[in-house]
Amino acid sequence: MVKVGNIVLRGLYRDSVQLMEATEALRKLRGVVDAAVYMGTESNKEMMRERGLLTGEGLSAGPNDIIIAVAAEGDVEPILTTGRQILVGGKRPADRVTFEQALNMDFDFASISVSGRHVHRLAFPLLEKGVNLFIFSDHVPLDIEVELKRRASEKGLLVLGPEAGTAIVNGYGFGFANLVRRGPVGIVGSTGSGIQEVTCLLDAHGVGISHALGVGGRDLREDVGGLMTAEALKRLERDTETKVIALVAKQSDEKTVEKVLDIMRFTKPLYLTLLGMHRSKVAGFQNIPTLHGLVLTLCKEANFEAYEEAVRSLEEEVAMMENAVEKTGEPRGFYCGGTLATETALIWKWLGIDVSSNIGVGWVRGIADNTRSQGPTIVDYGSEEFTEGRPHPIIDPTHRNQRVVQELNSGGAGIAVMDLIIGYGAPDNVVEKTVEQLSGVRSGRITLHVIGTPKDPQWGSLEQLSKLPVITARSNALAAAFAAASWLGDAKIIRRVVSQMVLG
Amino acid sequence: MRRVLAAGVSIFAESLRRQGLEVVELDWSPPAEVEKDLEEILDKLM
Repeated sequence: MVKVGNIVLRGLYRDSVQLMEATEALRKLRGVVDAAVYMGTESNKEMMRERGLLTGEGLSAGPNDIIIAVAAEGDVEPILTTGRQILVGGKRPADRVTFEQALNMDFDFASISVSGRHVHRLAFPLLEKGVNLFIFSDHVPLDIEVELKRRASEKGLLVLGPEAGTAIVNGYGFGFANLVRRGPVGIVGSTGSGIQEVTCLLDAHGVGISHALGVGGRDLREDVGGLMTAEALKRLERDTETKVIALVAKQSDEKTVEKVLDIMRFTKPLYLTLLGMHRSKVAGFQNIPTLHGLVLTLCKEANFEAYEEAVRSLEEEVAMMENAVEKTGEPRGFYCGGTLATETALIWKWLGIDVSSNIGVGWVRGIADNTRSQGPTIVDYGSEEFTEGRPHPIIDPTHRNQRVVQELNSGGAGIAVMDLIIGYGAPDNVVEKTVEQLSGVRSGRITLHVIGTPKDPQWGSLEQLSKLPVITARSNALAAAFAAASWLGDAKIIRRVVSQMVLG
Repeated sequence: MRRVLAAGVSIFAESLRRQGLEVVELDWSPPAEVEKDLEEILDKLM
């Protein structure tokens, strides 16, 4: 007989990774059927309710309280007590400093990933002190973002984010970043996974990067006005190491991009990938439809031999993928990286597939309920509604992975497209965890794209993917094309996507 | 780059440390809601 119990730890704060670790520890205990340790936000309570884990006690929790919820065979009380001991007993390292102490120290950069509604308490005083900021947090009010970026621009400082997934500054990776070689390509992007895709593919072709500056997902919206895109582009234009520049955007306002680019004078080549913007040129600069296409163009500019080799090996990969195509049921995409989800939506739409998604762009139909698919569907598990008070899916891909298993086994999806993001910020065991969670797949196929480099700590574990029914693709664009070709039962689609959207 | 302040998710601080940076972690937890309400009242009064 399965019993469910909750306890609430009022006014206790632990970050989302500590909560994930506590959840994992409880799941391993004898008799535990399911467990969840979350901050008591409304969305978390709703998710616990759906999983049958919420009791009246948990329901009474507020957003500043932690709920420990357990479903177990037998007595749940000792398990809940263990959960409390893990969270309360865990001592914080003694070397942490108070904010007052921090303000009396010198820093070049601050990395901020506290809950979005509290970011301003740290960000404004640090900016005032002349500290550059990397802000991972989402749910930061828009007026706070604009004011932070306005002040930073005046001072010549960087405010990367809010909602910055990644940055590589002078070779140091912030947020989610990969160990890529140094080199001549400088990148600015209002995207996290998009920058990771470009830097990793460049690295695979032997081309390195100088800096990669993620400016936050909203920077190129009209209301933010590209304040940090402009500042970051200026830095790359001045930087002696940077020889060629790329600007990548998941979502952007055309007029804002034009305004930013029009007022700047570039002496270096600049290429754009503004996903979903169909013009081949914006403000006189070439706009390349896919991230993989952008990478090939950057290779051509930085190292022609690398470009020739990249095209040759792409041809080989396309031939291999064409041979692997088998007719499947509907394609569905389940992503940790929002820009990759957007790129897949773009490719499917270009192929005439009627796509539904939560990526929040005007050119794709939205979905009423993110937990249920309707036809070819793409779900970004890194979007705000999934991350409030919970770890980002790059840190904990469990919900995304469970969805892949459920969709394939129920026959809803015939082929699932997914990303697996390794590197800094992803846990060391993320590959093992994903392989274990996907081992329950009994039907259908998976096409998977790994974002990472051989120097990333988790790279060695990737051979475990061979235990799964997966077809790995070199780029997200190829994975998206493969899934579409499988559903439509036409292998030639892969070559069509490559010639028009990657090489074209 | 010499020293970085890290506030929030511990895995990001650990990643920066692994890259050889000096990382100082902030002892941070969200202010109590009561305090927030008080702040809002003070904002209105001032």
